[in-house]
Amino acid sequence: MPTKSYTKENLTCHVLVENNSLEYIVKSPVPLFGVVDLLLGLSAAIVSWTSPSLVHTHPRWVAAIALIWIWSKYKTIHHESLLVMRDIGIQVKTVYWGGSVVSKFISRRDIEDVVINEGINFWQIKSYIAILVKDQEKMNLLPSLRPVLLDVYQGTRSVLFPAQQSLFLKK
Amino acid sequence: MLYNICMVSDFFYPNMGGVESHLYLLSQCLILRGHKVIIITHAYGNRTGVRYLTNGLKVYYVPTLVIHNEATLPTIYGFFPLFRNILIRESINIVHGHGAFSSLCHEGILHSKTMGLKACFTDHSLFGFADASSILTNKLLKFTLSDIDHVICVSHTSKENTVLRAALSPRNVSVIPNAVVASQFQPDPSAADPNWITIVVISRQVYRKGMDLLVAVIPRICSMYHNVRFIIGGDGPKRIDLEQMREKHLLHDRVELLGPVKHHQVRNILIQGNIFLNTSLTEAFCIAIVEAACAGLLVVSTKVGGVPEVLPSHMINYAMPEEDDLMIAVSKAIQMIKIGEVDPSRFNDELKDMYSWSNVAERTEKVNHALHDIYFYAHLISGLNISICIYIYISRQVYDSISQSQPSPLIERLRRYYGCGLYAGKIFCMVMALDYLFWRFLEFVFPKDSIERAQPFPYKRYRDYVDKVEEPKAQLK
Repeated sequence: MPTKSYTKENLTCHVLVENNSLEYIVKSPVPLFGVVDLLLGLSAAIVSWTSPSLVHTHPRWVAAIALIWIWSKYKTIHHESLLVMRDIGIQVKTVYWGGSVVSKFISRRDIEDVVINEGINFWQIKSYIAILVKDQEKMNLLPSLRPVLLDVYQGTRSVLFPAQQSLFLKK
Repeated sequence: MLYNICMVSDFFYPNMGGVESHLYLLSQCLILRGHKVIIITHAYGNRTGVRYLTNGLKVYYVPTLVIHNEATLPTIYGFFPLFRNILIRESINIVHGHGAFSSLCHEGILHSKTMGLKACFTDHSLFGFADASSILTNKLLKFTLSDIDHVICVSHTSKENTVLRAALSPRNVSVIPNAVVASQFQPDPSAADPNWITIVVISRQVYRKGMDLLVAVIPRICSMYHNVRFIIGGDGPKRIDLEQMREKHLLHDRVELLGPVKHHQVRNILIQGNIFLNTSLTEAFCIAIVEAACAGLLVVSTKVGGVPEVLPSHMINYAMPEEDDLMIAVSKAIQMIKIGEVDPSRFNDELKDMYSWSNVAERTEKVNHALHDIYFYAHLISGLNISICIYIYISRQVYDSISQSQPSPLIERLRRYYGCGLYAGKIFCMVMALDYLFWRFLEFVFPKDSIERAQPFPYKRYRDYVDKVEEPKAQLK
């Protein structure tokens, strides 16, 4: 089946079935090996050069640090995806670098609304999409930049709530 | 000129009080004129994050630690990063702080001056000079007001008080009283019970509202006059004293305690009464007595603070804040109601005639660009449209005059803070210098362009939709 898709910055959208099903994939902008890893590597190199005996006398510490570093790499997010199907529901999937996938499905009957809200996160205010689920506190996902969010928001609403006209969104 | 204004205060809804309703009403008036207004306050319980009120008024509930009576712990630099983020994303020009007890307000003004924005401050209360808490608060106020563009007070008494406390030049201080929506407080003479003379008291039950005086006066009045009853609304730490007084003197049928009252229910309670009693020990400007006079009650109040400036003398009986004098004033009021000497239901109309639009406009002429004193309580009673017009006229004058002034260089600011006192000046300079360095650091770590601007609320479209859809619906009903 032909699927149309377009990409904008780190958002990819696959239109699986016209007007009925959409998938949004957002890649994490943070690279796997960053500045912190570089610094860690440098400091490890310096330590092993200046005092090589240190590494041999504390093997457990070295192993522990290495294991923690590998574990943190496994848990870094690779991409997140949102699969929207009309009358069926929404599936939220998070894929990590280590290959593990965490996904959650919300059935259409439980979905009250999909909204964009702003929240306070440490020292910043971020916008995020929230899916309001019946009988539960809302479920949030995909804190991202504004252009990405609006596309996802509009697309999701057009599939889930086709009857409503959006009054406040510019087309 | 349209501005983006940020109101900062610890005190906002869901907390009830004069400052909160003043903030709300002022913000709504400004939005009507086309400015953009946001409000920053601290989180109340579970309520954190961003909320929208009527007409797109955005409220930021910032999670901070609350120490006493809805005032937050003053960590001076802890609030700065989030505050800077909010100001940049909303593209704010002017920061307006309310309430001298509110540490969020002081910090907000300090940070906004460091960032180069304009700041002004509105004071809502009176302070003493003698006790420890007053001395500390006055010093803090002096610190905040050393470098500020404008100060607004709610009455002339409050202006004298603020000018003395903070050692300001009176030229930079304006008087803009609180406003009330008079159409919400129409009198209804048929609602009061003719068999009784009803005295209404609605206030927060705290010490400074004179609850001890009330506890002393009620049993004496009830024993002296047998057809007088009391309706008391409001909640607070002193409520237990009132209940104990009721138990002790067996006044369950004469004194009714309503508990916390929502603001839209206040009018229905007021019209059941003949007399309104206010026993505050200190008051900069009492909006409650204005609301009561609008609703057609004769007012009895303690003569403290800014109260004498508020109502004409035939609508109000004054008393010293002590038991015997209060007894005399209340007795006089009861006599006046019994023999029908005054007709309180005509107060609403009388004030409208006395303070007509032409009278008010004449006083408006005296306002010039430097914005000196304005004696404006006329707009209080003469109706919603006039109050809005004058309110925003004044606020626009304040904001216009502020925005025209140039931002002062760093050395000038340091000089102003240095003049606060022998030791305090040096400490304040250090605090302010560290604030500046912290700001530079934040500019480096979170640069301005990395912060997304927030989407402005589509006010015109919202109003069009509401007028098109809601009005026909309302007409159908």
